[in-house]
Amino acid sequence: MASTLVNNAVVKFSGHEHLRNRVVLSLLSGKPIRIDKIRSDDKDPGLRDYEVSLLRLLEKICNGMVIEISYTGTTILIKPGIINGGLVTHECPTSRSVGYFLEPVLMLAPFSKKPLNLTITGVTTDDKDLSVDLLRTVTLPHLQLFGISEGVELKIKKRGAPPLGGGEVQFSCPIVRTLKIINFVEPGKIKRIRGIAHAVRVSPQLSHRMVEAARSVLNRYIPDIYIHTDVYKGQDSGKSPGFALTLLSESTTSAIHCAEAVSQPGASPEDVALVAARSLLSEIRAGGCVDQKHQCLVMLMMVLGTEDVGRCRIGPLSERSIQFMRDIRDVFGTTFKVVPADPSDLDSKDLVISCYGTGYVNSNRSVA
Amino acid sequence: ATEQFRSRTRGRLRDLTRLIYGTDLTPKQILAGETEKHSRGDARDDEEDDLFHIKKSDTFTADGREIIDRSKEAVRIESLTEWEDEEILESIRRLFITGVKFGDEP
Repeated sequence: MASTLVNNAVVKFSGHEHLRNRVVLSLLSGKPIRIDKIRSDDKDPGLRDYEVSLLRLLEKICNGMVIEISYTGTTILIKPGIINGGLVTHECPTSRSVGYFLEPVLMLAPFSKKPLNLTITGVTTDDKDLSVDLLRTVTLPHLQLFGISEGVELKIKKRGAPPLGGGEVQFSCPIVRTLKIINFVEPGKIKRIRGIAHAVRVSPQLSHRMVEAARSVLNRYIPDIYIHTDVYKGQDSGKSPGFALTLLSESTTSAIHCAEAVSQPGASPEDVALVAARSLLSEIRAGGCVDQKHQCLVMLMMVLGTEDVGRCRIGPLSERSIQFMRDIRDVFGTTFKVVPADPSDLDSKDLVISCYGTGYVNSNRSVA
Repeated sequence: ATEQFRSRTRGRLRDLTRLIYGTDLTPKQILAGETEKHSRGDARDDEEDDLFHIKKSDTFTADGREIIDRSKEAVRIESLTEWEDEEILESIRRLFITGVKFGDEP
């Protein structure tokens, strides 16, 4: 857990958790990292197939990145190169959905040398990672807060439900020189709810049933609800049957909260919709301007912002975020200040995090 | 008692920065509301055990599932049943624009 700086500036981490965030930090800071004890006590020690695949993907995006994996796979040493970007294709193993791979890519892409155009295939929606719908409708707008807006696009060409996948998405991202600093402390009131219901290789009627059930919960709060039913046919609907509902709420200050639920074997579309709708209510109640799923992304972008103080109001911290804050300190030397948002309101668990941006400049960017 | 609770919650919130950067507590312990004192006590208890230890796995959770790197938290279905309750459903109405009109916000 704890990490120390050794003389040749290799930052050491241990354990298999938070691998993605740590590699991202290494690539952005240019500092080599060593991660040891990767599942060293496990029956099946070392890196998993999806982790190796992720490293291979990052190798394609970066130039001169050196990855040394020990014989047993329990230790890796990463020497970062420059983030190159460009046209990249990658095939993901079906053990994780493409969200797992896109999340770190999203953090890196704005700082590459050439605009990234990534085509990635595999499972598009599962219950572990952010689905492509969430990434497109919720995560990408978060990048806009920092001034990354024009040309950011995620196209869902084919959908692929687990276990066999078969989906395909295309992600393109422009490059930026510096990031804007944010001051996002006003959560506002929720003004609308949007959603995407999709069903592949099953009756399209199922997505309508999901929409109906979700409305039955949410209509009491607000009339402005629109849930899109996304239909993919034939080859575009992947290799396995499945359906899912993605919901998001937008506030008057553009704070977005989101939730989604994915079909389980034997679950009815009504069950899935109720889980999604109720999770959304839980997310809304948790408060903040940024939800737990996006805390890490926002924190990273705040640290990389221009040399000024950035502030953001968030709900309760997640375990990942706390570890990420520590990892940021170890790599960038930046610490966050965490204070309650309303010291007078004792029921409120909202926090305001603030930090001083490192003034990161995209030095990979080719001078045009 | 209210006063006590108040000062306690306040104290905890105020110390979050220090808990994150100044202690060796795991993120889980911080979120569970532990402070430094408690965890030190625990650590010593472990140390004083016998010759043999049961090795704590950091790859699996208590219920035997693997800890994986994910940003979408697992949904606890049980915790969602509270939304069947009318009172809880009404309690978040103030967060919507439709709740402002009445102007009776707490």
